[in-house]
Amino acid sequence: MKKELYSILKESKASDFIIKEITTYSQEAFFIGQKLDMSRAKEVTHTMVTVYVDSDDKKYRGSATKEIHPTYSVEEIKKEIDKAIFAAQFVLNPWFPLVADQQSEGSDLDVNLTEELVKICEAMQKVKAGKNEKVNSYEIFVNKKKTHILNSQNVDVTFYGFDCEVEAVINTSKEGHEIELLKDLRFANKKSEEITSEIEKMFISGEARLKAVPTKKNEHANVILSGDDVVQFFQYFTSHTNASNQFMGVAKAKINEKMTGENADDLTIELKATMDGSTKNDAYDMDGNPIKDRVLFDKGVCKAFWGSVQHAHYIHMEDTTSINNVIVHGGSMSMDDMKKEPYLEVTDFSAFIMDPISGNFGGEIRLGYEKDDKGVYPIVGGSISANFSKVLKNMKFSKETRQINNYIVPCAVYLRDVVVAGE
Amino acid sequence: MQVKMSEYLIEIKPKIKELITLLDNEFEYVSVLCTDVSGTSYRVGQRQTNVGDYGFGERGFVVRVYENGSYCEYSFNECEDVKACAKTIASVLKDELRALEKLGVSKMESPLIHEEEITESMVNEIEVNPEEMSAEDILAHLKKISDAGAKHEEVIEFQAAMQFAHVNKMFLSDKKDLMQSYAYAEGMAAAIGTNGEKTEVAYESFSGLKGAEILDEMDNKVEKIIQDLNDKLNAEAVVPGMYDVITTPEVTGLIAHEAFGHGVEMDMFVKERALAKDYIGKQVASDITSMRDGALSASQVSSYLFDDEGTLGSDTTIIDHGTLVTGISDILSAMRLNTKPTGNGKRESFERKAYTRMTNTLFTTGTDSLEDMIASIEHGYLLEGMDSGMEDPKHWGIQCVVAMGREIKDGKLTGKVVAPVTLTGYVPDLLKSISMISNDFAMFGSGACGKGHKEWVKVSDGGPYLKCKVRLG
Repeated sequence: MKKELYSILKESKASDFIIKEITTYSQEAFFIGQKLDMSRAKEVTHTMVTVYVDSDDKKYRGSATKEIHPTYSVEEIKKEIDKAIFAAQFVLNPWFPLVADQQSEGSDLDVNLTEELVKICEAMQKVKAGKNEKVNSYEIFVNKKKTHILNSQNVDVTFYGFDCEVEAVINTSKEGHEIELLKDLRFANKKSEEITSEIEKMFISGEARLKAVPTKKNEHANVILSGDDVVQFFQYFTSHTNASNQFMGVAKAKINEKMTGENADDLTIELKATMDGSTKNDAYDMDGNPIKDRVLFDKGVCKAFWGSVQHAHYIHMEDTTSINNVIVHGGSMSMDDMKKEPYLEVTDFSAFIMDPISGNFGGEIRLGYEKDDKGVYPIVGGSISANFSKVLKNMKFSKETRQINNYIVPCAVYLRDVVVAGE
Repeated sequence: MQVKMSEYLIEIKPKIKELITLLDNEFEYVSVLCTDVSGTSYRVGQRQTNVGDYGFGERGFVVRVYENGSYCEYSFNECEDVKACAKTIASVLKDELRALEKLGVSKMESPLIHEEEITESMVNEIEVNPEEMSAEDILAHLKKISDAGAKHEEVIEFQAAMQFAHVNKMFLSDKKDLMQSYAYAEGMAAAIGTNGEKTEVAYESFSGLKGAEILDEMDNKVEKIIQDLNDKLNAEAVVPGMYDVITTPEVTGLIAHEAFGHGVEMDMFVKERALAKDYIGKQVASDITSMRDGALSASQVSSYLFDDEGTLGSDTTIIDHGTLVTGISDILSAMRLNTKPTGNGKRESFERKAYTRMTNTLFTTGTDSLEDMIASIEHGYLLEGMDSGMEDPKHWGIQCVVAMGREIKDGKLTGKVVAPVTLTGYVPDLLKSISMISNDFAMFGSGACGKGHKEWVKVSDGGPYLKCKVRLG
């Protein structure tokens, strides 16, 4: 089908085109408690085609994207490509070049999906639950992907990837009251013992939640964010350095300027093409552009942007990269320093919401800890709401860092004067 | 005009029947869901225009088989040679199951599906077929909307978007032969603006079992979006606390969906993950409150003949005058709970597992007028606009982020606006506090719903204005 598609595109009126074909092989297992509920497997291929149509004066470049299913007949392919080319001529975006002259065959991965699935199942079956604890349910996905990107400017690259996902729910109970916690682990290579241990650690949080008291209302709290949502907190900065957001006029980062205040910790953010254990180690992005290392912020100062070739061209960036992996360097305070004064630490939100445009962030507290003059105790309920325009002035990060899939981030962020809704 | 059934599904049907016959030799139960969903999305802004494929487009197959006391599934989207395909499916599924059995894992009790003989099909109607409308005309219409919004000084960007979907599905087994073809459209218009200090977004969404006629609905909303944007730019933070509030139909839908809808998905009953299981037959809401869900409950983006497991859609009364009557279910959960499936087994696509999912979820109307409801509040807010929500069926917690609250004092809107507003609380407290319900009604079907943090499907939700008591932060 790909050969036919390529020759149809070559003979079409498209000024340029790109074909992105991803074949995914998966095996999946679904458990209720420790009992197998269902097993699944799949082999699917998705082929996305983008056609580009230039205006006569080459000032504009329109595009339209369509999925070409493997079961399309030649007539259907031609019809879809013609429709896309027709639509693209009415899309008047400024002209931009495609990635050119990239060739790579990649190496297939020697992965046996059944063996990988069994390995993770074994690790999950080994999870030790105490008297008032249980594994409620879990879902395991192991995926192997082959990606082939081909365009009309001599790009022909193939690369392979492997990733796993475990979504686990645990329960802990006390005197007839049962609570649950959910964790979504994504990784490329994790030892069985690490998987077992990460799930068992959920029981510790579960026990704390059982003892939790309702969160108290506080309009001027010192808040520590320390859960997995720290990643989303730092995505505010990758969002504001994104070329598309810069072009749209909604990004606030400026080259050689700081986004953070004088009293805030200096922000250093690096993009890394590869990171051990990450599920995001593809050699190329979906434009066929090689993924590169890059420093976005150095000691607080914005040094570079990132994004698609199209948007990079629009904002006159000569060289660009997409994001695979991110390292946010640690800050000035140790976790112990952060906990010297009264604080409210949120380890789990129901859903952490961060809107990079308005800068609003927060969510309902599913588990946290509060320290007051009487001691430290777990809390639940209520919510925090804050805005980056305020916290950028004096936010601090922990010295300690940890890896969450494709991010290495400070273990905690310390924010002053945050509004907490509670009882 | 009537939507046209997928020619591809009609053409492939004999091949799939042959596949079922071949797999019948290997397995006790075999069914195949075949999908052919197409569509196009258009987005026009002041700086950039996009034409792309519909986000939920798909064409493929999922085979479900019963093997050695368990259900197994195989998803694929190429099948040149039926015999080879059947061989691959049988060997991959058996090998995977054997490898798991070898580990010594126990299996959930899974009764064998017994189906009744049924052959049915459905096609719906739309006014203007977007597939027959020129991309030039659609883009020009959206550009007109974008330009009308962008002319305002405070606006940085104004985007107008429209997408349409043509859903075709076929479910075949030894006893079932079901086909459906329906179309729906979604629209969105959004303003991003600043007053120098703050940057905010305001938007309106549109959806329905419609065609390109949805574009005309969008024309009239530009000025309201600009007004909302200015209200948000000038909004203050809400003082955290408990308030009497009135929810607009959009926020009512968000509450129906997040607060209670997820909690009555009966696959969560099987996993003991939903408190609602223990409250069947008990009062969970005020006497005036009733709630429904089903493919037949409303005419919206999740209205279909049959679900992704071949069960016919229905109209389920979940809460009847305050009492929890039943939940909604997929077929496997219903068999395990010894209940009747309600036609709520839905998949993100042919590639994903089916779970119990909502369809069109709503609170039913009451007899109050909005004016009387506002007049009854001493100090509270009229909550408008849906941003996001998160379910918590195990603990009946609720988190809904709404766009803004319009202050009500001494029975009148003061003109003061608070934003953003996070609504939290304990679901039964919220539902039992519902004291007035309007006679208005609207449904909203843009966007998608996840289960946990994945498995996105199309749903709609809505209802009337509700007066209740909630915690705002």
